[in-house]
Amino acid sequence: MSATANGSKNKWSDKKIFTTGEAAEICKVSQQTIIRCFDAGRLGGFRVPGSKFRRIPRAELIRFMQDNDIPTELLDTGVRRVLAVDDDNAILELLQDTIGRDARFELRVASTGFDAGLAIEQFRPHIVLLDYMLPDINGNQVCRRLRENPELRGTKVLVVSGVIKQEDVQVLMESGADDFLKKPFSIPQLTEKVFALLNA
Amino acid sequence: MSTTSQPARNVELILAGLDQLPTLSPVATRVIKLSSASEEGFDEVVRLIESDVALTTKVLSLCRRASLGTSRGITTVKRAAVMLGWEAIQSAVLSVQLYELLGQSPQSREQRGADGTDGNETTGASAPRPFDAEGFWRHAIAVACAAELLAQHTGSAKVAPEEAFVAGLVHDLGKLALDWVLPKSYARVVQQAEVRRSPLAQLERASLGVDHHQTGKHLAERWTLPLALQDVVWLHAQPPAALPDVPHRRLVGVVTLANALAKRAHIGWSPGGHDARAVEQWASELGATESVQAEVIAKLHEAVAQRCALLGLGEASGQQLMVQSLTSANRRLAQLGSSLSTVSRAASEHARAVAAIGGFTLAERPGGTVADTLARIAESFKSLSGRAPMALIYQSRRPQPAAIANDEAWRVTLLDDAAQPTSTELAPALTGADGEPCDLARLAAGAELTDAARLMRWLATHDPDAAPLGAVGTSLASAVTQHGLHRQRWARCAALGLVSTLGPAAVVIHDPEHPLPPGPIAQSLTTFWSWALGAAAQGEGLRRLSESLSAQSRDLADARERLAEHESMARLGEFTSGAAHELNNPLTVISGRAQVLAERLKGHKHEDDARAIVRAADTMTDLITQLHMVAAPPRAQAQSTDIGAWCEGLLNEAQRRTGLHSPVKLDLPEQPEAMLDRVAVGKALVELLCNALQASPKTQTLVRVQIQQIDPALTQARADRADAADGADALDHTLPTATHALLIDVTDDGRGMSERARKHAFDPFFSDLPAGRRAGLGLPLARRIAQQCGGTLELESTTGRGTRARLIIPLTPQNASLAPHGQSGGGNRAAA
Repeated sequence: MSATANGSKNKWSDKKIFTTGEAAEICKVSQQTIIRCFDAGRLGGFRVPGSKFRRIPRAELIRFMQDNDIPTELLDTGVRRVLAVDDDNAILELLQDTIGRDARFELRVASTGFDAGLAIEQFRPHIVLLDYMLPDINGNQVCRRLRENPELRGTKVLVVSGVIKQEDVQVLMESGADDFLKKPFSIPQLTEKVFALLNA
Repeated sequence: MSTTSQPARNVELILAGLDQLPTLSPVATRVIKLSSASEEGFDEVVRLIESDVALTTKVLSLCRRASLGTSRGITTVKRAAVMLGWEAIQSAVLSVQLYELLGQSPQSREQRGADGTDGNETTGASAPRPFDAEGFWRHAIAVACAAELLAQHTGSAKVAPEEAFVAGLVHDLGKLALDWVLPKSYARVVQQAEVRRSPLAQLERASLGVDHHQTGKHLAERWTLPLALQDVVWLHAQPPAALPDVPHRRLVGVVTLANALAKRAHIGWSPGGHDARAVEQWASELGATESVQAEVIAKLHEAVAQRCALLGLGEASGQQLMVQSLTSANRRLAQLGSSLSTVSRAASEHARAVAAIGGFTLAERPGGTVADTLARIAESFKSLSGRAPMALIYQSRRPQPAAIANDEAWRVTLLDDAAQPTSTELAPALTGADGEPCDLARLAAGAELTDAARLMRWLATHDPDAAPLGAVGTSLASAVTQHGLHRQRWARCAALGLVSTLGPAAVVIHDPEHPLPPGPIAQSLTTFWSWALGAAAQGEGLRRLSESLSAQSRDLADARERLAEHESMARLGEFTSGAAHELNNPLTVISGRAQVLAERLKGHKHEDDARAIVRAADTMTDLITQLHMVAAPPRAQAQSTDIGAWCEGLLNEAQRRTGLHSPVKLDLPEQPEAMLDRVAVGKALVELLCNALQASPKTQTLVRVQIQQIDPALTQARADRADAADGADALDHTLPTATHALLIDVTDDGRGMSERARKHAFDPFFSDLPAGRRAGLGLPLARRIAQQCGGTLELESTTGRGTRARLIIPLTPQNASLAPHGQSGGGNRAAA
């Protein structure tokens, strides 16, 4: 399996923390502008303990760029971030052993709706594989919350569930899901659907 | 003044009039007051009496007469009091005073009556006065004497003769008072009592509102007469059982008996009859045997003559009195004879009415139909009038203005001379001038029927040939011919209306020269007929109601059965959907892991094992999904479908699934497209096709698809059933508006189904095929889908000869009504 099948890696791809200079380069603006935005609080970050150096976490930089309509392709790693949400650990393990081993994907898992919410904020997945029945809140709630956040408008949602009731599937699709995949599924079927959604 | 307030007003008048009556003289009042026998004032009262010479004379005479023989020496009031007792004096004073007060000449009262107390009637001075004052007093005295004699002759009565005398004298005080207050009205009452020989008090109450007993008691109270006298005035003529605890009941009894004896001796004048049984009971209670009574009557004439003389009432001797009594008795006899003949006439008329009703009821049986009752009315009418009615028109209930329902029509029955119905037909009710249906009940009850059947004249004025009257007019016209009557005659025929409060009405049309006999017969009978008609109509209504009730309960049972099935299916649906979710997770793991394994074992001999695991997991999840579909099929989603392509696609799928390719002939409808849930119905049809292919057809399988018009009655029945099963609306997704249905017959000439297989054909997981074949969910699923679409799936199968499965799916209307495309559709397409 090719690691760079979909997009190429650059020097920023794996970086987690950025300096103001790096941020300026990525955003293609002057360093002074980044510093002004940082000091005004429009760009989140921290100062290095014991010094005045400003540091910007990756997620904050992406948020800032999205807010200001700055293309994020320089940050793009080409790896598709996939968040799998399922209360069944066996399923999550199976996913880790399949798409988790696929270099095209970076997989994170969450087993509750709450964890899913946190992971979406931090991990900023390209796509969420969402089960319907979760221990705390149901998949359709997670989906609705996600859709309410304008920052996450690019995030795709693929419902992967064992539900067979047409009405339940309907509810999920209405709450903003992009597609539905019935369990059990074949692995190629899953990756096919994921790419279909991401390239849409 | 309304008639209902008349008696009330009379009572007020009477009581006010009593207040105007003269009061007792002070002497009398004092004498009565002293009745408590205190010695004080005794001398004074005696002096008072003696100061009135006339009074003294009369009192002393009375006292002497009252105690013949022992009273020669009574010359003063005081001596009389000593010798005869104070009660004797009291009685004597009261007798004298009462007579003087109320025993006035008729003329003087007549003048007073004209003053206006009874002024609602013009007073003619020459008008005969039925109230015979002199006769009244003679009767009063007779009763007094009889009471006195009875008291003397019946030791057991324990009543003082003097007291009995006064009581007898005053017992009808009320009559005097009523005559005094309302001379004219009372005269009428008295006259009626004379004619009818009925108790006077009853008539008084009926026409005046109060009787002489009450009036008398009122006056006696006002005059503060002794309680014993008040009771007598009030209670005499009552049977002994009516006054168990009255203190003076024996005195009351003596007076009641004396009254009867005086009447028997025909002395004086006393209108009205008396209660003979009460008199008998008193006689036996007082020990007044027949001989005692005879003795009293024998002595009565003489005693009365003496007393009358003393009181200055008609100087008649005992002999003259006897003659008068005889005359009076004769007169009474003549009256009795005439009133008896009146009574017997009335009785015979009533007997006919009763016989007629009896005859009618004998023929009437409970639960009879309206037609039976009408026939019996006709017979009854014939038996009484002598001629059968010509026709009967019947209306079961009043027409509603909105629409003329069937039961608002008129039922016209024509009758022959034997009162047998010759024909009965329903005809819409005639419309009146206002265009509304004519209400027969109103015609039958109202003024329209008076003056010899305006209804019939109204009908007769219509020429059925010129202006058609509808069936009623035609019926009546044929009735005319049948009875050989001219139209003119028909116009004069009479009609008798029967209106039941229960709703129905009828009109009996008959020959005016043969009506029902007049009088109470006709009235009773028509009432009775109306009632019987109403009862029969109600009976019919009840029968209809109970029939529709049983039909409804049948529907209800059906609905309940379907509801129960629906509920159990809904539960199964919940169960399978829950189970599917729970099972699908581990199946995902099994299938996923097997896929990972297969990937790793690529080229290895165990790769196929892993693939087998994947397939098994898929089969299981398919099974679960199918099971869920059987329990809870998805709602039908109709879409326009090209029937030919659809069928061929399904056939391919069936062939692929079974791996069997025996010949199949497709027979497609002219109309190439239809609106249906092609996914769901397709699943059903595939199952049928698979079954047909697997049945090893000898020659071929025929698939015939047709689009048929649905029988509207069937649609309606289904809609009704859906209504009846209200609340279970999810049961029936039939579109009651669907006019067409897709009819698919899948016929094979294969091995057919065994009896057992047919019986269990729709049970999930039942399969008659040898072990190892697909699980038997096909037919149950197909049937569920058909039901979900509002259709049906039926099987016909003979072992060894083949099976025909018929799937009927109602089509969504807009497409079903599409005009068939003649040129492109049709033809038989064969698919190998």
